[in-house]
Amino acid sequence: MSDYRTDAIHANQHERPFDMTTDATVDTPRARCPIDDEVGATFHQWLGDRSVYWSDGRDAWIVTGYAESARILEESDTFWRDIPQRDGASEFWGRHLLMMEGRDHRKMHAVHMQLTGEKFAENIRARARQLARDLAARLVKQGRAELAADYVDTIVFMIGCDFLGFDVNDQSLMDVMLAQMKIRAKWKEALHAGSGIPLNSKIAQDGQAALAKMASVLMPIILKRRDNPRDDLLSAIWKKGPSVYADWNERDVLSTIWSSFDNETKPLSRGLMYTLCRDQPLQARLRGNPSIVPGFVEEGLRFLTPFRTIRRTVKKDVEIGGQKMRAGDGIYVITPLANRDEQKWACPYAFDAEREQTATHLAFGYGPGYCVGRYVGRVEAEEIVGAILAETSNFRLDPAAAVKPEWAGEMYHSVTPIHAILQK
Amino acid sequence: MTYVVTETCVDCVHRSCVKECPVDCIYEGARSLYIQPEECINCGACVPVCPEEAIYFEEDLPESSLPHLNDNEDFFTQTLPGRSEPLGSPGGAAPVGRLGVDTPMVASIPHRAATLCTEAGE
Repeated sequence: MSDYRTDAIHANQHERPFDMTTDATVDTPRARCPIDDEVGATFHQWLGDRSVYWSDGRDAWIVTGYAESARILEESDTFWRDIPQRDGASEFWGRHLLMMEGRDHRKMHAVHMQLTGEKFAENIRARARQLARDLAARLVKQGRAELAADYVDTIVFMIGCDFLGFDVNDQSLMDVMLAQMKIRAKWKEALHAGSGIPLNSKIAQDGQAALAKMASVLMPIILKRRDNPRDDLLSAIWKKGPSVYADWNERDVLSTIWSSFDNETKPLSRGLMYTLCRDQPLQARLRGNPSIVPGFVEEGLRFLTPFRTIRRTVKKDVEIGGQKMRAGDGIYVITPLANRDEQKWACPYAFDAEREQTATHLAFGYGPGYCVGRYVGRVEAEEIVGAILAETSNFRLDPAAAVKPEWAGEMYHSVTPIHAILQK
Repeated sequence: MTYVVTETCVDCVHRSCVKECPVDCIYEGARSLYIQPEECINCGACVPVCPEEAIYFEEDLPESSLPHLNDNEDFFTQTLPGRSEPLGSPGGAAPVGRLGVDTPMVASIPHRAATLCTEAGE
C-alpha cells in the first residue's frame, strides 16, 4: 500500500498521496470515512510526476490538475470532443448534443437547459420521491436486496421514464428497456474507451440490435406525443427541437432521451448507497437529519466523481501545464484527481458529507460541455438516498453475500454488486 | 471567448443568471449586470435562464449589441465613476455585492419602465 508514496507523486504539486498507514491527510475532528482509502486506490494509476504528462500506454496526455483540467474543458476552440469522428458514433448518438460543436452545440445546450433546468428538476422531485419510496419499501419487505441493480439502476430508469412520459406501469416496456439498456451501456463504454471500437465488432453489433429493439417499443409513443402533446418531457422535446434543427424528427427525439435513462446518477447513487452501507454513523446522521442529504450528494459528486475520464482532442498546438501539446493529440482529463486540489478544498482526500464545497467541482464537467442534466441528477440522487433512509431503520452490506462489491469502469466508475440487508 | 450581457438587461436585472452561474462571474452594477470575461468559463448556463434573453456568446452577438462586448470588459478594466481603481477580477461576485455604478455607456441608455421587463420565471 505504501507504493503510492513515490517521489513522483510527491513531485506533483496538485496531488497528495493516499496515505494508507496514517491519518495524515485527514485532520478534521470527524472520524474518517471507511471509503476514503478504498476510493483513492481506484484512481492511483492515473497519478504521474506532473499535473500534465504524456502516457505512452494511452497514447495521450493525462491531466490531473484542477486549473489545467478546467482550462481544457473551458477552451473549446482549442480542446474538444473527438466523439463525432469515432466509428459508430453517428449510429450510436444520431444528432445528439455530444455530436455537436460551436454554435449548434450552444443552441442545443441552451435548449436542454430550458427543458431540464432547476425548475423542471424541482417539478419532478415529488414524483421521484414517490417512485423511490415505493421501490425501497418493496425491497425492504424482502429484507435483502442488491442495491446497485435492484434499487439504483431501476429507480433512475423509472424516474427518467416517468418524466419523459412513458408508462412505468407498462411492465413489458420496462422489461425490454432495462435489458437492452445494459447492452447499450457496454457499447457506450467501449465507444468512449481508447480510440473506440469498430462498428462491426460484436459489442457494437449487439448494441445496434439493442437500439433497434428499444426503438421498436419507444417510437410509437414518441410519434403519439408529436401528434397529441401532453405535459411531459417528450412533448416538450418535440416542441423545442426545431429551434436547433428545422427538420427535427422522431430519430432526434430518440437521440435526445437516452441520457434520461442512463446517466451519471446511476454510478453516483451506487457509490452513495455503498458509502452509507460502509459508514453506519454517517447513515444514522443523515437519517436523523435529512436536510444534510443534499450536502452528502454534493460531496459524493466531488469525492466519487463517477464520470472520471473526460476525453478531449487538441485542435491546435498549445502549451499547458508546461507541456507542449500538438493538434490531434488525445487528452484524458482525470476529474477525481482535479477534484482533490488542496488549493480548492481542505483535506480533499477525505469524504466529508458535511463539508462546505469551496470550489466548483468537475463532476459535471466544466465550460461549454457543462452537464445539462445536473439539476435532474442532483434531485434524483437526493430522493434515492432520502427514500431508502426513510424506509429503513438501517441497511448494511450482507456479510453472507457470495460476490463482494467491486469498483470498476473507466468512464462511468461505480461499485457493484451491493448486496445489502435492509431493516424496516 | 466569453458570454456578454446586453441592453435588454438594463433596468430589469432579474439576477436569474447570477444564481445559475457556477463560477459566480456575473457582477451587478446599478442598472445592469456584467459578465467578467476572464472569469467566465463559457458554459452558457446563464443564457436560457435570462427572462430578457439578454445574454449572448460573443460570436453570436447581434450587430446592434456588439458594443456590449467591450462594455462588459470595461466594467472591470476601467475605473468606474466614484471609484478609485478598476474592479479587475475579484474571483467571485457575491463578496463584491452590488456596486451601484454602471459603465458610461450603460448609464447613458434611456431609462426603461419596469412594466416593460419580462416577469421573472415566465
